[in-house]
Amino acid sequence: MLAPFLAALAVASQVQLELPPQLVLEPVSVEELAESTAVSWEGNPLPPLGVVVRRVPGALRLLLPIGVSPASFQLAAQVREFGNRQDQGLRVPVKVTVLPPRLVERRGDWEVWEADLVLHLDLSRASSGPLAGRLEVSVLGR
Amino acid sequence: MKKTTLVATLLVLGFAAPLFAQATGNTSIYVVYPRIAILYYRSSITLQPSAADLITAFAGSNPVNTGATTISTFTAALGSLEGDATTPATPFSTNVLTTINNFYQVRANYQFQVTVSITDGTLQGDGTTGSGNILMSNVETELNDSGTWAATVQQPNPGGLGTVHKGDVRFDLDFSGAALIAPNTSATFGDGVVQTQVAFY
Repeated sequence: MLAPFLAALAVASQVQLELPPQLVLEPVSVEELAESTAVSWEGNPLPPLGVVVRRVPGALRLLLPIGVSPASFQLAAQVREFGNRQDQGLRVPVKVTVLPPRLVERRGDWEVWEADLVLHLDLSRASSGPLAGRLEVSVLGR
Repeated sequence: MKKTTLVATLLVLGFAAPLFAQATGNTSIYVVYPRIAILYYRSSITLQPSAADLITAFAGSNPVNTGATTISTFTAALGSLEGDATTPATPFSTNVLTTINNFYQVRANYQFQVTVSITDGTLQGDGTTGSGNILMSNVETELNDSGTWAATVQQPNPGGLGTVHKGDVRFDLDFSGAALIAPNTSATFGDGVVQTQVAFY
């Protein structure tokens, strides 16, 4: 009677995380920050800048033993040291949200779950140029 | 016996792996952030100076004291004496320097320059209330109250799109060719154009 419980406990301790070696986001355009490069303005407060949002479909994959739910894991992601190399020390704040994983395939005794990432970039202080950083993802059993 | 096996198995599992599984991964992330400048401009501005302000701009006061004049040369005839106070009615500023603060604003993520120019400098009377015209000339701009006025000014430290740069504009207005059509007590002159351009440098 206790054997299934033990088996579940044993497999629950196994999780594999797959990430691509790099993620290249779509370039930022002026249209998503303002209407255009010239905006008619009649002296009222300036309209706020648009928020730059990037959704990365299938950005990460979880390999779990069949029958183990991804809900039993806490997924966390954060972007570190994201900025322009010319502006040493000036970092662009990025808020990362991991969307609920979905089952995409089975590999032997494993199920592959895929999750999208949504990144909100605050570019208000960034200079132009390539911006680079490190995405760190952690998976922790609940 | 069964109980012993269970405890042993649990102990082995507990030491062999953490109770909760975990994994961590890193990946590089890139995005291209192109040079962006956003110009916020006014499509129309109406200047409505008062008569008192205009008089002050033209002459400093009204009436204008042109100074004491000693008339020593007279033409005399029987029963009359005629002299000429020749001091001209000065001062009079033909060109009135007109400044408009907060004429435009700029956000940019790369060093930029602003150039202002007059593309139509004739403010034509509407023919009903005003005749003739008012002429615009010598347009200049300054950024962020720097005190440096020129047709083109530069900003080497834009500070990112979160920073707003305020632009002022000034130009001369020559009212000498404008008149009111009676019985109107004010007149409209219009459709001069000042162009503002932002470019990277």
